[in-house]
Amino acid sequence: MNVFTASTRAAAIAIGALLLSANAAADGKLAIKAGKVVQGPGMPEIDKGVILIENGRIAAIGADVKVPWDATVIDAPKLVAFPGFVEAHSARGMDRPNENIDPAAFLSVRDSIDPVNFYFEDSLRWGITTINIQQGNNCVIAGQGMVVRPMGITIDEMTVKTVSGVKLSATPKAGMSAATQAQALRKAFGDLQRYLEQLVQEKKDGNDRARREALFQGRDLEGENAKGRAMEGSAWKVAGLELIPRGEIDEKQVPLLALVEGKLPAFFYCGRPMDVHRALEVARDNGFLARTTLVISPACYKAADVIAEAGVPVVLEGPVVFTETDPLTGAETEIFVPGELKKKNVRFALSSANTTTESLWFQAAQCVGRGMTKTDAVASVTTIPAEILGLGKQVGSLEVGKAGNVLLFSGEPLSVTSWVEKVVIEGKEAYDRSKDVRVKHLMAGKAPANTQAMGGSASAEKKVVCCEGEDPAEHAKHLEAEAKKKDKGEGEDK
Amino acid sequence: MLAIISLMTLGLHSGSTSMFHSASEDQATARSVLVRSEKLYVTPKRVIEGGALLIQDGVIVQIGRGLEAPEGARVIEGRVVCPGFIDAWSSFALEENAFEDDRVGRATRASDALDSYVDPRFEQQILGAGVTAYRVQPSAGARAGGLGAVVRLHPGKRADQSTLLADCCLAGGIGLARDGRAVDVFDRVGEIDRWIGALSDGQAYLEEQNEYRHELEEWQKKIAEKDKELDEAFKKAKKDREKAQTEAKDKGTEFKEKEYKEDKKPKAPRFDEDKAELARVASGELPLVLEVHRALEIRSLLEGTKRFTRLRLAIAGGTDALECAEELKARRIPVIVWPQPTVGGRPEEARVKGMGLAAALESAGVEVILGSGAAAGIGSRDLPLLAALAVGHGMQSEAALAAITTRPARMFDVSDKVGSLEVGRQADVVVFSGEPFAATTQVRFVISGGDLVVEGR
Amino acid sequence: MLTWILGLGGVVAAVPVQASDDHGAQASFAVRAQHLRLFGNEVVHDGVLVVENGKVRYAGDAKRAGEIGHDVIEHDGWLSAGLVACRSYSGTRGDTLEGKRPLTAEARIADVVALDHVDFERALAAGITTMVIAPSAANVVSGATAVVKTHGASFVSREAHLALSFSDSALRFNRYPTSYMAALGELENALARPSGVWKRVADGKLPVLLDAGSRDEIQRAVRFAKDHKLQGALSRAPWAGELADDVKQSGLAVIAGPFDVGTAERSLASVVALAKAGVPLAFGVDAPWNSEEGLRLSAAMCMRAGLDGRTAWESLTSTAAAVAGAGTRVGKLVSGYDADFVLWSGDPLDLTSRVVAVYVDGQRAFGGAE
Repeated sequence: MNVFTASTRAAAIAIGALLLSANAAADGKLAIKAGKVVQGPGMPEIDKGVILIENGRIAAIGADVKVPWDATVIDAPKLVAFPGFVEAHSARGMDRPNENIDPAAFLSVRDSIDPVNFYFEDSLRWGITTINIQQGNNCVIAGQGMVVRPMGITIDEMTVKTVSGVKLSATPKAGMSAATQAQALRKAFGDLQRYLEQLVQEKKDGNDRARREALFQGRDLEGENAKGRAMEGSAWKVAGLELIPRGEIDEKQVPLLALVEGKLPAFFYCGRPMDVHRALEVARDNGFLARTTLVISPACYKAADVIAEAGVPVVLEGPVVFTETDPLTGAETEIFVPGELKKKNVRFALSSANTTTESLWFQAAQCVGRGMTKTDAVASVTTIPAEILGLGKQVGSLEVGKAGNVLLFSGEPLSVTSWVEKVVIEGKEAYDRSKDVRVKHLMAGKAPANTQAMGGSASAEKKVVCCEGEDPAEHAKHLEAEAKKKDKGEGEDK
Repeated sequence: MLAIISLMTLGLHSGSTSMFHSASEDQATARSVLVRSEKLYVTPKRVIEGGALLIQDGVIVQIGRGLEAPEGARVIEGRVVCPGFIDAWSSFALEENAFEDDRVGRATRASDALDSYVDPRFEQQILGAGVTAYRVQPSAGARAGGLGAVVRLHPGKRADQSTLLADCCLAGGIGLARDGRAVDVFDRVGEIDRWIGALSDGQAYLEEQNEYRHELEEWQKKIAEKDKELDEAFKKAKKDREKAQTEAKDKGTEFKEKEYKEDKKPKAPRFDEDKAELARVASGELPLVLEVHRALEIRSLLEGTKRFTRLRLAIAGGTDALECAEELKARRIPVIVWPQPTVGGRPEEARVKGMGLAAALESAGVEVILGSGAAAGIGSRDLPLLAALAVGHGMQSEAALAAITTRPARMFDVSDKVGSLEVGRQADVVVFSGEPFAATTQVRFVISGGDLVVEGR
Repeated sequence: MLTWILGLGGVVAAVPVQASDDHGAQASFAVRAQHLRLFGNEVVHDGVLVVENGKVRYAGDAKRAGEIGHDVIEHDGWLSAGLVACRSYSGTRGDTLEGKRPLTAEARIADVVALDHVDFERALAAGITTMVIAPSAANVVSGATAVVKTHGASFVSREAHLALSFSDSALRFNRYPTSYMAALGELENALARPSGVWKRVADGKLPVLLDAGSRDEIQRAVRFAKDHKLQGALSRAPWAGELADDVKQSGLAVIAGPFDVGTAERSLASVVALAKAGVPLAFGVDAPWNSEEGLRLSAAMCMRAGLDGRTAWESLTSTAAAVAGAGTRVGKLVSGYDADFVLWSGDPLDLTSRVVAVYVDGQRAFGGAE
């Protein structure tokens, strides 16, 4: 069975082609010469800067960096270098974002991520180089997410961080209400506690019985060392858990236990201001408030003071401007949500989910347009989401030691008229707009190779199928040749 | 008597002001409110002509006649002063999903269902009618409605901060139409059976727990004794074992350990939160409010619940309850009535079922509590009008007033906090320009939880 | 208030006689009540109402009545004019809506009202003596309203208003018209070349009833009435109070309600604003889908929201009668008016009062023996 449709096949080939051309780069050394280098929020901009990336990390950055003789050079005097955007929370790229059962912390997005999903290809166009994939918002406790880079054909190639945190939702799952959602959340942790207590009790009972048996039989009983680990946790603990080897704990409960012990981050979705209270309450009662990030809808700006008091960061999912309708008079007011969050000192990251545009830099630009400083706006799509994901030292800005995730913009990064021309992920060229067949299709009306226009046409009949069964390397060369021809105004009509 | 008490307290008070005249004292008196009236209802039965209330820092410190206002105190005057009204059947501030939730169970809590961001102007509208507290369930009109909460209205506080009692009752409905479809007679009987069964389950769960505890104690005692025995016998047992081991070695047989047997530890019954709540209901700790209308169902319900001797049952709605009035009276089962004008039917029966129901039940000796029927969120605002309708159709004024103050407070175990004016309580007071149920009467002031929340018109 | 001295001089001897239940077709008797609620906000203590041949002869202070030459019924309570509900569907058995054609100007709801229906008994039990029966507002032009007495099987008028709808409930997706534009076009067309019913409307002989819901709809209705110099009333118009000045200028009245438990404060505030601006007000009861008792409840809810007692009472009686086009026959206890009155246990504005007996055209229509 051929799982891939024609378009996904084309996509796979297209990505493969891009990758291969990237792999053609020198093993480990890449130098980017840009007209301007924007390092990150609040950091100085470097005119005619050079970024040297070795083995995936930035080895040097500045105006007068010596470029090694064996480095591949990307010379872009008209382009502006910018750190790759970081998406702190996304539920896309999977076959199905939501799971049916309530407590499903043992599941992982690893099993649902589809590397050839269009979303990853598109992320490159928007310059998003680090993505935290979590399960959808329609859940009680969903599975564990992971941080990926939108590059690679297998999950392994894409993985940046295997476990990024557990997803929870305070907003009622479809068919439920706030009361039953709260009940389900409490039940999940209550069940965990009861389960652990039962385990410990059974173990203790077993040990006691063994001791009595030994006494009865006249045996000396060797002392048993606790094979497990005492339970850590700031809100509640089950005494005696050290008696249980960790391997004996039901694997379905292990992630929740890790959450309570403060070992796993949590992403808690809140669709309404009242849900914020629920989320913070559940996180507090179960000891993982310090590792919680709230994923909020714009309406939750009303709960900003409560969020600030709890000291947790948020990911704002949705448009930055929220239209509020007065329930009594029907009058409408526009609220600039990041402005409200900033007023109350809530750390926030923007997200490209649920908006009319997937462009994080457009969202940041909107913030600047409504009075936010450029530093704050840029931080909300680079360094802050990086910190939220625990990758503050690896991504988010262009600094020595951090990953070589660089975007090359055609103009001012926050301008609406700028495009991402090239994307480099960890020193490998991941995207080149000039070779982007879909963009060409969109802008110039030319269909990508090996696809057919809807409805068919006479010209389609003439199409020479050249790619079926062709070696990918050959096909890559073919595409490059085609691109060159088209640029010169010639070329086959496909 | 009251005059003497008020004079004494007056003397004490003026004494204290002269002795400790400090800045903080000034502040304290600045937060004093004296409420004067021509008629003060401490409870519907206890009226003080010309009575007054002194409130300091939100707490009622004095009730009596001829009270003097301390320096700096705010003075409020009105014709009639009452305790704040309580709506025993409301759906205010329930979040929108609560009305359609199918998964509501018996342990679902109303306090989780309240929208803490409900627009305070709605709260203000309800307070403006004199209603200061209400009972709400996690799902309006559900079969198994979950645990209700009594909440005080206060625009400055969120619902979780002004909840008076988070689990005041368990509620449910029998024979109610679902999704616009009426339930047929077999389903209705089935619903009653399920409730009776649930109560039995709850009782059984409680007994199971008690039995387990008892058995566990016994077992633990036995085991402790056994432990002692074994300890004492260990030396000998060890010797015997070594002897047996050597014997076996000599004979060339395999040494087998002695088989050890002991009583198994009794297994704990599985935790079931629904059954735990039903146990509380069956034991009388938590009242049960069931919305039921038809005579057949009310009778079956009364019949089926006879054996739960400690059950505190109340009926909500009770359109046909008059037919069972004697038994309701005998078993002291109150009926929470929604005196709404009915639609359709013959004029005589319509009045008895709708607005005249409260009066009819009251005359038959049944305790009547009034509520706004959880019809619409803001419905609680119209509770005093509904009470007036009930009076208009025969209910005594005093009974109607009790039906929205002392009786619901008692039913839902919050009479130590609301429902009447008592010294030491946070003040929930309404000041009227006339008799509470008259058309021309206006609410002039409302104090809820000690704070002045509505100011005169 | 008229003073009418019956008979010649002498001592007033109002003999309290327990009158017989059955009054003749030409009813003549008197009722003496503790309180008489008269036109406006006037309340007379110890008042008397004299009925002659089914009409009011005198209503006022008992002392100024002089000698009453009829049986006098004593009532330990209040007496007032019967209530007038300005919108209802009573007695129609649901046949108020033409589903196929949106413009049926010649239709008359009077043709399908069953005057002996139990709906009217319920209305009587609620103290309502006159009702405007309207066709459904779900057609652009649904026909003529009727005004009925709730007892005695009589029409006060078989064609009281032409009912028009400016609301979106009259616009259906499955038949013409589907847009406001077309609906308004039809109305303009009808008035451009009026004939039949429309001629009477154009000549100012027949008032209109304009159903409107949203702010836009109300504005269109008001403008239409102004442009064509139409008299009549807006119906429903829940937030018309926010356009009170425009409504006032148009000369239209507003038939508000019915208001039930839980009605938004905004709707009640609208009524109060209209009253303040001097717009004539009446209430609809929309029976049998709503309770007839809702008439007084609607008024009480508006009073809670700030409506003064006088306007509330007028909106239930005299103003309502004028809106119904029967302002010279019912709604007041004034000499010459129909003897439609109610005996109450207390002030009718108080919900703590209930109906004790109802008389229509001098006949006892509801209520047991005194």
